[in-house]
Amino acid sequence: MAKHRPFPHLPLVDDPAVQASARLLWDRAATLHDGIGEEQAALIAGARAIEDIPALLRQDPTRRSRVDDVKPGRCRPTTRIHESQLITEKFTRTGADWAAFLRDGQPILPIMCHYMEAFSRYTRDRSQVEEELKAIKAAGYTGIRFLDILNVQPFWEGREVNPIDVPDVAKTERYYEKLEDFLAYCKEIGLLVNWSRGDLEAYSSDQRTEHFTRIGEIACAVGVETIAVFEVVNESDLNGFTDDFEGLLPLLNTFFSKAGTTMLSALSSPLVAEDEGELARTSAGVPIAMAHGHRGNDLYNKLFAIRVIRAAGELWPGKAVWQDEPPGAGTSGTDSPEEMDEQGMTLMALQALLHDQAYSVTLKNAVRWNSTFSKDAGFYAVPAAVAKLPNDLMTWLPAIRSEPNWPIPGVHPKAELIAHDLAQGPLIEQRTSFQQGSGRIAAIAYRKVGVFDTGIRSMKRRWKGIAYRFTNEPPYVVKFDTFDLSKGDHTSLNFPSGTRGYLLLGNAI
Amino acid sequence: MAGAFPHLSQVKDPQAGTTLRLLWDRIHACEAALAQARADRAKMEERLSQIPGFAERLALAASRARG
Repeated sequence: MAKHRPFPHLPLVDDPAVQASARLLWDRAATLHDGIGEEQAALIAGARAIEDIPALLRQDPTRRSRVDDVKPGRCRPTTRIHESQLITEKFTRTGADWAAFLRDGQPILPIMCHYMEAFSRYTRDRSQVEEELKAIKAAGYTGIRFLDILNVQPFWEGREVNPIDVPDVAKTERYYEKLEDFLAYCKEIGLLVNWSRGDLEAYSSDQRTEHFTRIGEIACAVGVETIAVFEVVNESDLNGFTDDFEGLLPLLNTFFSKAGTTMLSALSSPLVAEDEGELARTSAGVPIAMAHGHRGNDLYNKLFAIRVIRAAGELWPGKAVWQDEPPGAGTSGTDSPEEMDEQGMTLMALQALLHDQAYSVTLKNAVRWNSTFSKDAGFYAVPAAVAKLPNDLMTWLPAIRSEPNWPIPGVHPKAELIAHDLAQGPLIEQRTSFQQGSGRIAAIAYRKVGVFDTGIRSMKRRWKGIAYRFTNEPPYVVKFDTFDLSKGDHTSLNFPSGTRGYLLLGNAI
Repeated sequence: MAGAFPHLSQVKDPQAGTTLRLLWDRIHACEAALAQARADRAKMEERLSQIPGFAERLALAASRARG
């Protein structure tokens, strides 16, 4: 810009040194002029933005009236990953691909509280939902899972939430404004969202595209770093699509066109995640494979279903897996509900994280919310137990089980801890790390039948550590015994009757 | 270049030399003040960006300020 400025009177100056110095002075003055102009513009913008701070701090009720801002061009999708965004990093080790979750450059074990009705309830009783969200955050969860559309009758009667009128259900007034407020609140308190939707049967193709356009704009405006993972639709085949996932990727691309592509994303979950090749097929083109775990039989089978996704190569999609609606006290069709207590919920969450799968725990109020989560079995125990796990767990050696083919006898050749009595003792799902010269082990122990022998044995080296069980009373994860086992040694852990599984954390000596 | 006085030592006219020196001094002072203002603004924006949603508000306001 300075090059095109005039240099008044300089051509009339005889002294070449004066000319040269004055010319440089004019250039510098012009650069200063430009710089001051930029600063003035920035100050004006800053002053305008600062006017919004009271609203952003939720001290100003006018924050409820921002619907006019939700329009195309409001913000631009970014290709830059936000520093606090949840991402995955792929590893190739021991011949297999897997992915660890990272946030702020640090490993993280995502544990979400499944709160399917969160937004629906937010449109009806904002303060109540805000209290729940704060409690979820305080308990230690990474975030929540919620659905932004619900309408199928009579299941969701009185709990519907929709941006348009659908048969028998009137639209939610100021839907998108409320959705933005809801997401902004989650961001404000530091909860990430595992964001999806259901019940799109009544939506035409154009209406679906319009919805994904609008929510993409909202995600961009609020900040995509608040999204843990964005899923196109919950259980595709039950919510207006088919099991072949036709039409899901175009809708995701519509969302991307407004929100950018940097957030973790998924299409939907297959009918049976534990079938060969299903997770790979249903996650083509996206970084996350969604799994809705097996709900049948007893807790042992549910733990097995989580484990087998990672352990059986033909089931593993070669990318991060997210158990975003596993069996639980609040899910329909879940067998053995008596086992879906704090022990069952915690063991399943730990099992998923041990086996490279993020987890959205489904407590009693997870699907149809009727009372506060704080009374649900496992609400505090699950995140407290996850907090005991080392954050870099997913970069450790792959998890193995002490007896891979139980009940057929046989010890895994790489097992560090096994049952002292293979016929009566626990199965031990274990993961180890020997990085930088220090050996660490994290494991859960359980057995198919209720009462089991207390003895565990070390197979290869000396391990010293602590055993924890899970309760609904503080401190929720209770140290009940310690162990110090040289190679070949065994010990009996002193846990109370009724214990169906426990956590072992230790170091190699 | 801050603090330098290009070509000033070669100026023959002492009055021209004096006025040029004063002009360079003023330029250097203005440049230092602008640099400090930029640093202060960056620090302020960094702190304000810790308020959820502020960064987006600022980007929106900046685009409007640019017209």
